[in-house]
Amino acid sequence: MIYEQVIITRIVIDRPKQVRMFQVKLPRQTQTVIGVETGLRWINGVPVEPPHEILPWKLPVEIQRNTYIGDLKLQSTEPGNIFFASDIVLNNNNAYADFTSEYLVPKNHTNQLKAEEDPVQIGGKATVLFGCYKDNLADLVTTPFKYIVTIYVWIKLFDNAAK
Amino acid sequence: MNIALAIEYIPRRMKDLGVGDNYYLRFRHFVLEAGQTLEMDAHNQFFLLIDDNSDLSISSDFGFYDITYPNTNEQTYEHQGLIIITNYSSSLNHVRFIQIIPKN
Repeated sequence: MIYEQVIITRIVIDRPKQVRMFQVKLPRQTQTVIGVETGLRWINGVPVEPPHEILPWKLPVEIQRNTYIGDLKLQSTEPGNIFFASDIVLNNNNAYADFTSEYLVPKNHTNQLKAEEDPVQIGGKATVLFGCYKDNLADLVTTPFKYIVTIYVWIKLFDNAAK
Repeated sequence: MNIALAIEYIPRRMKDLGVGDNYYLRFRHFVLEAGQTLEMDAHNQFFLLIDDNSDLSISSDFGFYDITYPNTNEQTYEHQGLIIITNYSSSLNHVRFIQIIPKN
């Protein structure tokens, strides 16, 4: 039987311009890595702009600048090499041009926002992925901050017990 | 990393990446002036740092090397992509790499 699983890795960033190298360990039954998803959880400190601030809907619609927090890369030891690269941002435009946002605050899976993984196709023989996260928020903020970056690695694996 | 380890490491790493024996090697010795920043485009290549240097910062697409930098939990000796080398020293500085160029 083949089934899917998600492996969650959390990285705590609490120092300016921090560089974190990490590994994501995969089960031995892993067939392929099929997707990667990222998340950001603010712990303390003041970002440049309040995250996810919902302004009343008005005309003309205004785009707010997203806050660039850092960049994340994942590497496989197999031929896939660096297979995933993503900017971690605070999305300040969740409510863009959405007149319902004044009453129904946008969250994941509401207001037509759909948080899904980015599909990838990487072999899982190596049973470990390497990751590198570089903080960039310190370029914008001088006061102390702390946040958690979450990496969700979706894998497809064989169930040996079912053989 | 020293040269002996690099010579042992490269064939295994290239085999893992599917390159096999199809690659060229070049030994590169860069000389940086005081405060100089050098950018190298190595998007289809690998640069292996083969000696430690306390006055240098190397940042690349996947990794970071700076012996004196406190906010990292690991130093990277294998670099690829856009590589940025900064010489923090107030004098001339040297950095040596083995450049691995996969064949088409």
